[in-house]
Amino acid sequence: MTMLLNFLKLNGYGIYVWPAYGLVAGLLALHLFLPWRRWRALNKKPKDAHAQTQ
Amino acid sequence: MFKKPLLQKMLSQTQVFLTRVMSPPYFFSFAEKCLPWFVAVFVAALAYGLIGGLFLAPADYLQGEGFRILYVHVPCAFLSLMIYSVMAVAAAFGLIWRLKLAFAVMRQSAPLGMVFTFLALVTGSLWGKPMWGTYWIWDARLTSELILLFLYLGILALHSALPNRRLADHATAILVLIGFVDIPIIHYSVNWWNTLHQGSTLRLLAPSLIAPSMLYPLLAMTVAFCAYYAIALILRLRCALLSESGAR
Repeated sequence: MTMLLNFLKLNGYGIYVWPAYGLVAGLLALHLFLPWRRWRALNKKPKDAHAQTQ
Repeated sequence: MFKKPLLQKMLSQTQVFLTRVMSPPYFFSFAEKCLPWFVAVFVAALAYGLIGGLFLAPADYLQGEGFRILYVHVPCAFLSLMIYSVMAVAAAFGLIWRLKLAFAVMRQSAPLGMVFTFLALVTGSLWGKPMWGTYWIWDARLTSELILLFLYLGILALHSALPNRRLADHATAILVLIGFVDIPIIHYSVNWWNTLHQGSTLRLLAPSLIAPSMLYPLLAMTVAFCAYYAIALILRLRCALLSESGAR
């Protein structure tokens, strides 16, 4: 636990380093997720339309 | 006498080649084949880069553990310039050879470039606070990078403001080509002006000014971010082409 906390603190620089990594990871994940979700929605459309007509 | 037909022949052959390569069916087959490879490269390079950058690389003698922001800041800054260069090439191809896919690459790259520029500025400012004592300074490198962010915003705004798709593509392509002047300014700003931002650490024609134990994870992270751009661009292009064909 102490080792993990020491690692997260990064000698006092953790407060700058982890927000930077977190922001990069969050925004990049979002920009992969959004087109992937749109692609899935575009591919589902005909099926849903077919289901609605029935 | 001989030059003109040869040039015309070369241009027409290039057009035939590009029209074939940059056609939507060819793109969809290319995307299907390449996407898993890009994902594999991304995962492998990211894993090595993160382990190497966060655990294996020693602390910097001057900046201590704070230098580890380098592993996200440098790839973001590199991608912000690289994506704009890709957009400029795509804009030129679109204007010269009227390739729809080239305009689509330009359009779909802009939001990604904007995100990377924003991230480069934010991570840089988070690095600047402990090292320089300030989050922001009107330094040549920082200011020119901020101009790049405004350029991306301007490109997105211009494209969405024009209702005619063809006109929007052409106007945006011209703006992209004019804005390309900012790319060498950003790159050489640390050489042309006295800046607080450090000079180039990675150099193509000379040994790098960084120890190999710190350098290799940085190169791996840069490769991972390039693979990420390829994946995100393919996903966005697939959606754009499919929705465009559906709209027609």
